[in-house]
Amino acid sequence: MESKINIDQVAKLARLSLKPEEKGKLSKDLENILAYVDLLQELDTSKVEPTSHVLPIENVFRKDKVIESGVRNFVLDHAPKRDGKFFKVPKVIEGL
Amino acid sequence: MNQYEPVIGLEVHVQLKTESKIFCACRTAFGAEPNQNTCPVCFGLPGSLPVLNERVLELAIKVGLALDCEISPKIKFDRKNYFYPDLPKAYQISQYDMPVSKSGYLIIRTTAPHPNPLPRQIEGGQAQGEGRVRVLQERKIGITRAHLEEDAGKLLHEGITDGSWVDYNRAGVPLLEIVSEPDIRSPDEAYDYLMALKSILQYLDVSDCNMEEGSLRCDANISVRKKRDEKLGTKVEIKNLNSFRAVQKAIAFEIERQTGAVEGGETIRQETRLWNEGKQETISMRSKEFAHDYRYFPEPDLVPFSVPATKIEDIRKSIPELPFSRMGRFQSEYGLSEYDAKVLIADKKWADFFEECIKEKVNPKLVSNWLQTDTAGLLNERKIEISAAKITAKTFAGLIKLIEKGTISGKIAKEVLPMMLDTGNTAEAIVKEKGMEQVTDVGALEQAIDRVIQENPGPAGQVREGKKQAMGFLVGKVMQLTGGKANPKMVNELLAKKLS
Ligand SMILES: [Zn+2]
Repeated sequence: MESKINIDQVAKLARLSLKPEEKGKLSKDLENILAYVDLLQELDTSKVEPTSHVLPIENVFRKDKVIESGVRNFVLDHAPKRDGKFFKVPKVIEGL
Repeated sequence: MNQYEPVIGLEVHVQLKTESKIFCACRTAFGAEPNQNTCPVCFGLPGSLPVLNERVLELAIKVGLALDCEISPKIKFDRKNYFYPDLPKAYQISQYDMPVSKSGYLIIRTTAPHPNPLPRQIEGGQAQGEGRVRVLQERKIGITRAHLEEDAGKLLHEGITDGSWVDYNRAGVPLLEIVSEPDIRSPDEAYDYLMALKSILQYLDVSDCNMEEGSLRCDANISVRKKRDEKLGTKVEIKNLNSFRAVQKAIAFEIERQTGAVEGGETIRQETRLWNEGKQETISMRSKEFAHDYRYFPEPDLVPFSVPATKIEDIRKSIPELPFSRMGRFQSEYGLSEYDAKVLIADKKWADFFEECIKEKVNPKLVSNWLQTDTAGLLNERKIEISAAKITAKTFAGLIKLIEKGTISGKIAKEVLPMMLDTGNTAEAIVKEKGMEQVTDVGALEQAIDRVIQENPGPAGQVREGKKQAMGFLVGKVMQLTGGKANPKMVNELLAKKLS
């Protein structure tokens, strides 16, 4: 049976590098998950309102008010690389 | 003859004017120290929870209503997934299938030629003093949708060689993305659409619309197709457009490039290109294989929203008079030409200044002319905004009154205006101090005229013989003799009488 999963694409999108044996196992796992979703799809949900959230609440807002968090230095200290007040990352210039 | 036509759609990102970010309490103000405006929420640290800023949704609805959009009864947020160092969470909270608003339109007035304009074509007025007649056409540009999303951080490459710096101050700044239908047919029309949209956003007071500070950005989608073809060609997206003029130039470049390619038998590749301002060309971005697989899914950290009809009505009532209707009112109420009205309303500050002047009971057309030509030019030279200028509507109206009363001529007024801008003095004070009042005293004028006739017997003789062309020369001489202060109308009359 041909796999429904393009494991290389999934791995690439998730920034995972997989060994050949892992690819086979994970493809199978993902296929099982999809099969289970297919099973769920068989249920008649035509009278159920679609939901995107587990709790029946809506319209939770905050006021437009500034509060200084003061976490900058703490977070910078825990970054893989810090350069003064900046985070430092490998060089990335898209498109050039 | 060119048998291809361009099809253009624009995506405008506008920063909504709030104190705090869209999902956290961090400050949005421009110019803070790097990474100063950050917190666990906009850093996307584990355990933090985003909560929607109430003001952001209100402003987004306000824009939706002004663009005649339907406000969605159910609004939800989604995650757009991609990896990039400016995106701390590795996803951007955006809206996929239930945006704040959709299906609206914007009517623009443009001089750009169009293959199929709306039936109503308006004769453009004549911009006085310029002698050019501009025909404005109305064009309806559809608005597909306007959705909310958070901005990303900023990567800096200048001044660092072994990597890139990241500043997350902008991460989580509220943006409204306004997507147009592919209804635009030329670079000029794209420019006019952007100007009209910016004008509405400024009237609504929802954004600073400052391209330099990143509070207004634009991407363009362009394709070409054979004229009368229904099917759209392959579209190319252009990014890195730093001004409305850049949008206009990049579109013009891209139309040429694509038309040339298609005529040469090439197929257009769907891709993203960057505008290179230095080279004035678009260049292809190395396309990433799965670049467009964003795997959107509903944002589980945010609840859905539904805005009560009463709330929407309250927001609708808060919408001020918009540029489009103000333009009509300027024509009917003040008798301005369509062209003059369009120029004046484009920037709310100018339109407000104009109406403040009119309250002083001065001639609207005169005010309009003096604002559009001399004042605009002088402020441009001095690089100051009308709202920051030393001249006020009241003092400006004072200058117009002196012209109306004939105390000073237009020529003298042109000298007085820059002095007003530089010193903040009133026109009356400047005219009095410099002795610039127009000479209307018949005796004084006759004296000057007699001298001019005496010194220029040739031209004077010609006028006596009925050759009227020489009159202008003599009037000019009298004006020169009086330092431009003589009343030209009286000089004409007195000269004609003396030489008849
Ligand atoms: Zn924050």
